[in-house]
Amino acid sequence: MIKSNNDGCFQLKQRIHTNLFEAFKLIFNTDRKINTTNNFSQFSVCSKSDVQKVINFFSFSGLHPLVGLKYIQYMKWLNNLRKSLRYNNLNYPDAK
Amino acid sequence: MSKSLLKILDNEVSAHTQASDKNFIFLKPAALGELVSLPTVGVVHKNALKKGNKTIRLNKQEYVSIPSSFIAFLVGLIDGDGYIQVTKTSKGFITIKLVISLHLEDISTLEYIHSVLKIGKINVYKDLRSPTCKLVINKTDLQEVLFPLLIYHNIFFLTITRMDQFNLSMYIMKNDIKSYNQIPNIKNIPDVFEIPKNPFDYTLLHFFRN
Repeated sequence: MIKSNNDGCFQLKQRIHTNLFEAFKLIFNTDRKINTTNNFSQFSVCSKSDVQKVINFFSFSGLHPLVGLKYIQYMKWLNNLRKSLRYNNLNYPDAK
Repeated sequence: MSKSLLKILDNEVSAHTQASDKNFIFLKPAALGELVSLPTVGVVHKNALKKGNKTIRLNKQEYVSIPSSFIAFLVGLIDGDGYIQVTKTSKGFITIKLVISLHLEDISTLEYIHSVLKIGKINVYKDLRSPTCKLVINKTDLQEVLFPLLIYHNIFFLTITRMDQFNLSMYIMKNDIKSYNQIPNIKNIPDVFEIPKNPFDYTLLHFFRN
């Protein structure tokens, strides 16, 4: 998602599952705290280095690609990041 | 190896699995060259295989060639947006089905899954306040295709609710339980797979990143 202040943000949210969400922190190599409210866990990153890790994960890892609506949303997110002053110098996949 | 021989071997394994004490029998590549089969979970009633839609399904040998990354993606999707329904019928029997439920605007994801697996049926509910589409996979296809694929690839659900639903379904299938009242307490259902106990162990799972 793109916040109103133009910060690019990657968030994962689902019913509370502490170990799983702590594992996300290990995968994305970040110390960002997991927000736990109303029985839901939320992983959220916004910094340039963390956003680059997210792009690396989804675009450069060779894993099964995103499909359907999530893929479209991801591509729109990348396009917005490319235009942003804060994130425009990150390493992106070739635009399609 | 000819297709007919593949079919014979496939049938033999299936029959052997049914006759044995519900244990799985895996044919490893070392035993049969490049042949690998998917053992049916429990017993499939002969009438369940008579229905016409079975002609669409791939043979079991072809299912083995589906990449494990796809299976990992599918299991993650079911963890998030799916469920395994185990309910009582009006006559006291058991219905088992796996459902993936998405917003209608994401129907292409269900069509993609259906195009790969060739099982299940896509239902559209466009008149709901939040228009929805569902891919519903019946018990027979779970027994013959999806659950054997999970076991073959050693890929499993990572959320507790979905794992409980999977364990319960597997228990019912393996023990050929027919009546809903015969289902034991969920606490007495054995785990098919063991969920990691700490965050680091999650990252060690070969399918976690998918």
